Amino acid sequence: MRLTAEQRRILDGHEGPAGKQAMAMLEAVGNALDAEALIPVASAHIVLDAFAMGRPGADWVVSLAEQGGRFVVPTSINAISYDRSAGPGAPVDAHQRRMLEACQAMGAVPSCSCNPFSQGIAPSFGQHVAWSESATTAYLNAVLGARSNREGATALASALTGLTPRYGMHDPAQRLAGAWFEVDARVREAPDYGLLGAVLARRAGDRIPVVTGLDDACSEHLFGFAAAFAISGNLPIFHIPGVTPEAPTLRDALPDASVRPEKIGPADLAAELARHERGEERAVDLVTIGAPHATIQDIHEVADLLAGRRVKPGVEFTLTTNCSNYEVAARGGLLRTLEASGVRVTADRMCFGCDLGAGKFAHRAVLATNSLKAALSAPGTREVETCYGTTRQCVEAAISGTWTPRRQEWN
Amino acid sequence: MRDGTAVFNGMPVTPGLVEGLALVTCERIAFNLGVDEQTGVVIERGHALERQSIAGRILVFPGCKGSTASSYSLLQMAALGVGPIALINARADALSAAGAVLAGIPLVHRCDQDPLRTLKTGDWVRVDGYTGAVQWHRGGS
Repeated sequence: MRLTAEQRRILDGHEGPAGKQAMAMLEAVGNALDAEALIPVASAHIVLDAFAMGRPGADWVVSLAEQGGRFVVPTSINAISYDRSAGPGAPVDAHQRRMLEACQAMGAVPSCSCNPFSQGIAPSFGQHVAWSESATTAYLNAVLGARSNREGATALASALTGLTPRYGMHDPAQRLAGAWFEVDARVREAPDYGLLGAVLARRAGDRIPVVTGLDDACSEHLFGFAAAFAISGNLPIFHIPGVTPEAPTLRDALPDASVRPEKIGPADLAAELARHERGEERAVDLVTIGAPHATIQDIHEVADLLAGRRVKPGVEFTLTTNCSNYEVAARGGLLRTLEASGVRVTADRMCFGCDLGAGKFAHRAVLATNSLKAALSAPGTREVETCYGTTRQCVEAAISGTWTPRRQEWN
Repeated sequence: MRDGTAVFNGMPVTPGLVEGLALVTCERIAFNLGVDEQTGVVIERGHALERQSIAGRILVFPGCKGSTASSYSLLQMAALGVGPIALINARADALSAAGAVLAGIPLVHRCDQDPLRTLKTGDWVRVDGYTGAVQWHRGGS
């Protein structure tokens, strides 16, 4: 990768140690992935994962700020490990807070959400950006038509320098589809989109997919779809003709007319569902909604479905959202309604992963969720079993204490 | 260089010169969620390296998978002294490349011999992150 004289100066440390470390990351990635040059980005979205980073990661971020590092493009922050709506005395992860404060000192907006789109933080069509959190990357490439690779620590390097290596999603030719999937099933409700996203990612492997046979997807559906797709594979983009801005038709996404469609049918969705629940009635301990963070629409839906009823004692029902939607819910009276029903609403905290301390339940806990991302990630880190379905199923399980499987109507 | 030592060449991604024992897997690795950053032990269920420690090893693997926080996991493990001392990838990705920078360890990839077939766990290996050269011989010491 060629560096300009100015970029070389930064790499050599003439602009301070923070810029030097950032440029070293971008140079290594650019060289490894055959980028020819660094290009400017319009924004960055950074993940401050307290578990992956720990004290050493926090020390590193704090040192960047202390050494004069400053973010040179608008920078937002992903969900964090604690609830910022909780009052004084509530548990706070000290390392997480240090990282957050250091990033604010460097100029980041403390948006703290894995669903920044619901906060109005959304790149526009054709913009080159550096966003981490794989679900946001899939959504912004596929639905907004902005351009970002799946960034990790490199998003922080881009925030510090305003640059990213030009490879992958920044190259229009590398965004094109190499596989075509025809959905031969009725995909209507939100959890169907989650199942489909997971099936698609596994079947596609490393081939960028275009999906036909879908209609009527709303933004909540697409975000759940993107999150399930992202967590089930490594791809940064999918195409849905008519939804993906650069793919008004199948041919725009897939110029190679020799590629034939592969079918995804009801049996594929049923097999995916079977990975996430037994399909039988069972007692639940936890109900979680909001992975990625619940939109105002999601919060409204939960309140409507509760209709004033109370969550069964012993069941923990958590609705996870960000500070923006939390504030809107509070002002509109929704928050009071939910809390009166016994729902715990949190702001900015990532979903679920932080909920279960060791030994909190004597038995293996059962978690009900409408998020495939939560259903997939929870058993990896905690001793839980899952039930996966609609928001309505989750709400009814919270009230009755019992999960009722859904009749499958994909045919 | 003792008898029986062979060399192959890759492309250097991050600098450094270290020697040690290889730990080889043909499976991709998720350093975040797939490895316990406090101990360096692989915890991903069903992974070929499950319950093995990557601490102090020259880790030979295709590349990363999963969570994009994996670069930070390499940073944390390096700071705690439980991370790999060098990486050899079939093909490096953004997570391994940025992670190697943060961890301060050499990374070499795209070698003229397939490192996943050539090297075996327990081989002695010297990785030169300046030139991309990989020296090795069968068995430890």
